[in-house]
Formats: sequence, structure tokens, C-alpha cells
Amino acid sequence: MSPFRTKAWRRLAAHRMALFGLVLVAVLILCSLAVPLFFSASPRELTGETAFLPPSLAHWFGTDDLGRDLLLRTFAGGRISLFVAFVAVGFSLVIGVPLGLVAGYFGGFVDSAVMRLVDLMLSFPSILLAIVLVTAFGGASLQSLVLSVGIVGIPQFARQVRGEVLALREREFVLAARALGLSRRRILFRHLLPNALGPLTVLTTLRVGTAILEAAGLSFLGLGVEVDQAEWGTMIKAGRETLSQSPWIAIFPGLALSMTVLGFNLFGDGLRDLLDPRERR
Amino acid sequence: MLPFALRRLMGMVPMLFLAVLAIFLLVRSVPGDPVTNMLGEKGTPQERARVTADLGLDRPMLVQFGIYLEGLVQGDLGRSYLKDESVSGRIAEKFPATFELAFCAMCLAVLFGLTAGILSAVLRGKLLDYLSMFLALVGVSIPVFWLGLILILLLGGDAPFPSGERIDWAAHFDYAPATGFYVLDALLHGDLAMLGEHLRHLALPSIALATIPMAVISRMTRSSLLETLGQDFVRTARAKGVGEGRVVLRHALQPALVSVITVVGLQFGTLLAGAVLTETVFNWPGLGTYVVDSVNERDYNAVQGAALVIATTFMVCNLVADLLYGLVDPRVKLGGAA
Repeated sequence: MSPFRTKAWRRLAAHRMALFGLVLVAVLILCSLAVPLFFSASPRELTGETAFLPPSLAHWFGTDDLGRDLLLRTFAGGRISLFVAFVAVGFSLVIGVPLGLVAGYFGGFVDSAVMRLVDLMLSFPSILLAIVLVTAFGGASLQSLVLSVGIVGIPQFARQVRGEVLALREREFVLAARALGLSRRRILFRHLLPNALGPLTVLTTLRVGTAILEAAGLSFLGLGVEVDQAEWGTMIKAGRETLSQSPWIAIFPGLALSMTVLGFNLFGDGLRDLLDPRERR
Repeated sequence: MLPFALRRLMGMVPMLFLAVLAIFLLVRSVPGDPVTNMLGEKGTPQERARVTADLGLDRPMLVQFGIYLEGLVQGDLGRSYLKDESVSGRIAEKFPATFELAFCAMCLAVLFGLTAGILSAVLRGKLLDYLSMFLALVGVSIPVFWLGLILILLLGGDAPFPSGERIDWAAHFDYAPATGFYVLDALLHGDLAMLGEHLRHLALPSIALATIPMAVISRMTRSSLLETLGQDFVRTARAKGVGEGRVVLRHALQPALVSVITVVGLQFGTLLAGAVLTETVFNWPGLGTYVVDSVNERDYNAVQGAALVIATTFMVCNLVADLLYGLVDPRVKLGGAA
């Protein structure tokens, strides 16, 4: 490990908020992966007992309308929510980063075309854009959910990367790379991109949190995954029907959702403090 | 200032045109055709042909777009595919409900966000600072729709706060609301009982909707106030013996407010759209529920119209935020090179 890395890690360890966020995220991801494994019952399986059981020792989070264990379902829901968010953000990165690189590096017509597109997408409120996109992709399904949330995230990445590239483009190391006759692709991806990674990491972390929220919101509106699938948004939607009699059905998935997003936000915020040279103390 | 505002307004036109085109194309790319949706599977070919012609769907796409634009310029968003009503009329009816909700939420957000931000900046590094900044982060992390449900659970029921649903004006009064903004209507009629009742209905949805802008405003207030508090003119004011309260509230806060005002403008646009989720939770009959219902009913003309109105309002809010920035901060020279 290079000395910079160790120093960065030590700074991270000293930043309590960021560390707390990282731990929160790690614990929730681990639980989502592990908890469904430790139980023989699948999250779809009925417990055979009565439905609407309040939280107890046997069922920590209670059971839902069909008698399914909510602890199991909540963490199984975490798998889907996290999966959707990660794949969607991955999609935004794969499209948004090259767009930003190209726009910033080449400037001129390419730049204005890309930025018009970005402005156009940003002129729609994100949730509205996501709703229209889901509809255009043929309505509620896992694919349209991932695609919509992914597309909604593109402009932020493109804009951020473009800004970084604009600031870096005239620096000596880029000039040197150009003078050496390196290919454009090599300059973009091997010289410019690594130097823009810091802010990009921060944005990615924060964006995962937002993506989880957006996906859950769409599912809550009935525009996400199928109702039967355990996903945080659909679970909250289901719990809403019997809110006053059995509030736990809506409470626990929402709690897990909020904690996960909080974790990503704390971690992203902490990373920004650590990486932003202006904030360095 | 005025020419600048006009120029910015003109600059919005191509963007709006692109937005209309984008929505038009997106809605038209939806799988399944509206005619089957209207007639069901049973429609005879003759019926289908008639409806298709009625909707103008038999014409080339470009002509359809032209017709839509023509109506749009006259403020006509077309007719609903499913119900016998004009989309514009429906939206005009729904818009005040959403606007009122967003406005109330913004008032709450500004009130509490500013206070928290100022206190945090003044008490930097103290417990209260950490607490309120942590709460701000929690505020942006909690899904609005879940928070809404929790609020209903804790405070809802009939007393003290009804769990949403806008007051049914027709059931309470025999005169028509003049503006559709019930707060305004109640005030115009000097009807305080009505105002109170209406505000009671507004309370929970506004609180739920206010969390995110509240968090954003408090963070922005804190950081920009911290910045101005460290500047020379503040030190000068202190050296002159100006009281600490006055230093903070007059000398340091005023320049700090510039960025806060911009954030308020930007957040207001987001609020109007963010209301989609809040409105659904509280059965609030605004634009948000209209969009979601129309999507679920596959009433694409309605989706198209509502999406367009929301996007336009959003753009206008962003524009206003931009203009306000120049108005409030004398250091920003408008009209020159931006």
C-alpha cells in the first residue's frame, strides 16, 4: 500500500461520522446477504402460523398479512434494493463518465451537445423523469426500474466529470501525455479519469443512497418491482394498507431503508471532507 | 435587470421545446396502444378506426406533434384518453393543491432550517451543532413516503391532525373557492374557522414534505454563515464593539443569505415534484397524484400534460432562483458575461 493510501485510511478512521456510515452500510449489506441464508424458510414461505403477528422473540420484526417473517423479508428486500441501486449507479457511471470526459476534453460542438442533453434531463425533477421513463419502458418491472433510476443519475456524473476535466485539461501532465503522442483514449481514461476519481467517488457514494430512495419511491407508487417480491418500497406500500392495526409491517423495511441511505450519506459526506483539499484541516 | 430576466426567459424557450418533444416521444414510445386500452379487447375494427381517427393517432407522428404544439400554444393540453375532460382543466384544478402544499412545506423548512443553521454556525463544534447536522443528514436519508406513514401513525387519526386528504370545499361551503388556493380563499372570506380546519389538514403532509429542504437549508445556512463569520468585516464589527447578536444577525447573516435564497428557490422546484410521493401517502388531490393515477390508468395524454406542467414550473423556479441571486447580491453583476 502506498503511503498516501495508509494516510487516507487513517484519516478515515479518525473521521467518526464517515466511519459510522461505513460500518452502517457494511452491517446492512452483510445482513442482507447473510440473514436469508441462515434461515431455512424462504422470504416467500409462509410460517404456517397466524398472520399479522406483532414483533416477538420468534419473529423479531413480526409477520405480514400472509404470515411471512418480516425479519427475513426485510433483509431479503435489502438484497433487491441494494442490487437495483448498485446496478443503476453502475449504469449511470458507465454512460455518464465517458460523456463527461469527452465533453470536457473535446469542448466545442461535442461539449455543447452533451451539455444540452444534460441540461434537458436536469430540467425535469428526478422523480418525475423516473416515472415517465418507467412508463415508457413498459411499466413496472425490475428492468425498467433499474434502467430508469440509472438514466436519471447520468447527468450528475457527466456534469461532475466534465467539470473536473475542464480544470485538468490544461495541466502539464496532460500536455506531456499529448506531447508523447498517447492516444486520446489513453489520455482520457489513464491520465484524466484517475485524477478526477476523488470527487467521483464522493458523488457515487451519495448517488447510491439517492438511487435506493428513488427506487423505493417508484416501487411505493407501484412502478417498481412486482408486488409479490420483497423490496423495501413495495413492502412499505403493502404495510400502508394495515398501518393502524399492524404498523410493524411498514416500520421495519422503512427503518432498514433509512439506515442504509443514512449510512451512504454519512460515508459520502465524510469522504468529501477527507478528499476535498479546501476542507482539509 | 429586466433585460437580463427577459433574455433568460427567452433562453428557456428552446429548452421547453426540447422538453415537450422529449415527453411527447417518451409517451408515444410506451408499449401497447391507447385505443385497445380505451375500448378493451372487444372493440370492432370500425370502432377502433373511429377512435383512432378521433384521437388523431392515424396521422403521421410529425403532424401529431404539430397539432399538440398548436394546442399547447393556446394553453390546451388535449383531452384525457379515458375520461371526457380536458387535461388543462383538470391540471388547473389540481395545481393549487400542490402549490399550496409545497408553499406550506417551504415556510416550515425555511423557518426551522434557518434557525438550525444559524444556531449550528454560532455554536460550531458544540453538541447542538453536531446534533442538528446529524439530524439534517437523517432528514435527507428518510424516504418521504415512509416518514409520512410514521407521522400518520404518531399524530394522525382525526385528532389532532387528520391524516391528509384535502378539505372537501364543496361539502362545507356553498360558494365556490375563488382561487383554488384554500388558504387564500378562506382569508378572502374572512373565514378563520375554515382556515384553521384547512391548516390542520395541511399540517402532516407539509411536515413530511418539509424535511428534505429543511435539511438542505440548514446545512447551507451553516456553511455560508461560517464563511462570512470568518471575514474581516465581521472582525471589524466585533472590534467596534457591536454586540454578538447584531454581528451574527445583521453583519454576517445578510451576505450569507444570498446562497440560502438560491437554495430555497431551487428546492421549491424540487418540492413541487417531490410532492408526488407525499401526495400519494396523504391522498392529497394534487398534480402528483394526478400523474401517478394517469400512469396507472394509462391515460397518456394526461401524463404528458401533467409532466409538462411540472417540468415547466420546475424550470421557472430555477430561473427565479437565478434571478433572485442577482437581485439580492449586489456583487453579482447581471447582464454582463455570466
